[in-house]
Amino acid sequence: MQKKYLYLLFVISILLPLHAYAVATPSASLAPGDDQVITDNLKKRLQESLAGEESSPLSQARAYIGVVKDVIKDTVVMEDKDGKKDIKLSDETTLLRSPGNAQITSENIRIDDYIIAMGYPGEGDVFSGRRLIVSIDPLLISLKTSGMGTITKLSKSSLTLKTTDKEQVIDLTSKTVIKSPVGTIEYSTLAIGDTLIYTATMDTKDNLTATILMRTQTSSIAL
Amino acid sequence: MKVKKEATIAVIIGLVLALVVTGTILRARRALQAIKLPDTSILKKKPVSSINPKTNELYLELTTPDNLVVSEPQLTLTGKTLPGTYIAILGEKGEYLIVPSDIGNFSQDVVLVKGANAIKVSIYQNDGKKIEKTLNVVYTTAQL
Repeated sequence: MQKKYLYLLFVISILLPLHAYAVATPSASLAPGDDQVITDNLKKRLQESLAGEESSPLSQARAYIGVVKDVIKDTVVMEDKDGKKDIKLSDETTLLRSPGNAQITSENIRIDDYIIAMGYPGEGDVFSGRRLIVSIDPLLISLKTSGMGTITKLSKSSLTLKTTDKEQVIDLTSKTVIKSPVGTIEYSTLAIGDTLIYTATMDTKDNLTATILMRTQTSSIAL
Repeated sequence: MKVKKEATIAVIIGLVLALVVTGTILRARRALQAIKLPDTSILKKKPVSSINPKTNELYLELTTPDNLVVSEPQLTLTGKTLPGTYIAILGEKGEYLIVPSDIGNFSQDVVLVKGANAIKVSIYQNDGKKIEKTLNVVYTTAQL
């Protein structure tokens, strides 16, 4: 008799927590509200999948554009717009000289060469270079500018803007796009006193040719 | 008789213990379901620069990372600035003049040239104030 009671006690002690655990596991059954759990799990898996795409090799790759400052053994010291970077060279690194993209060795990298260093960030400040392109010519030449000003003179082929510090003459071409924040407008609707934002190309003498003009304020509103 | 009594007490104690364990598991389940985890997606996209937009000062946050390597000839540049401003984007192959949305968000597809691309983003305010940032992007089809 005593044995039976003990067996019963043992069975109940094991079965009740087991049942509770089974109920607490989402995959056990589809009770009301479980569909929400399934939806949440699917969302979570989708997010993880998208995060996986973001962390694909190319998305983790970075490139620095700057100038070679030094070459020390297997490290190229370069300086980009944010400061100095150490680029570690390895057997996996491809070194090229532009133009022509001829393959070179690290001995052919010269101080003051312009450089694009592509690779992967490593531990600490180490950047593992995978593809380095060097050139004696600048790799980035910006001959474009933008600005804001008020029209002081208008002619068929140019306009003069008063900017914060000077009078700026901007040439116009048939390709110049003239617009307002809501759409394209005719050049004939521009008037002295209008405020404009412009993008323009520069020649070697700093003459500007407008590519886009956007009127931001008409003279009637400005006055 | 004495043995029977002791066995009954043991069974009752066992039942109470089993009920306590069962109740604890069920309560823990409900408590875990009630927890709302914080949205970590905003932590992943670290802006290039950040100035508190609430101060109403001219600011520019670029959500597109700097020094990217891409294998497509086009990049979607996204960011946030003060509403009511004007945005000039100078790419290597094209220029763009746009305005941000009512809440200051902006997005522009920028055409890239092969190799190094410097994309200059300038924000203009009606009072003539201006801020700008430059993103470097390299477009390559080579395997890294």
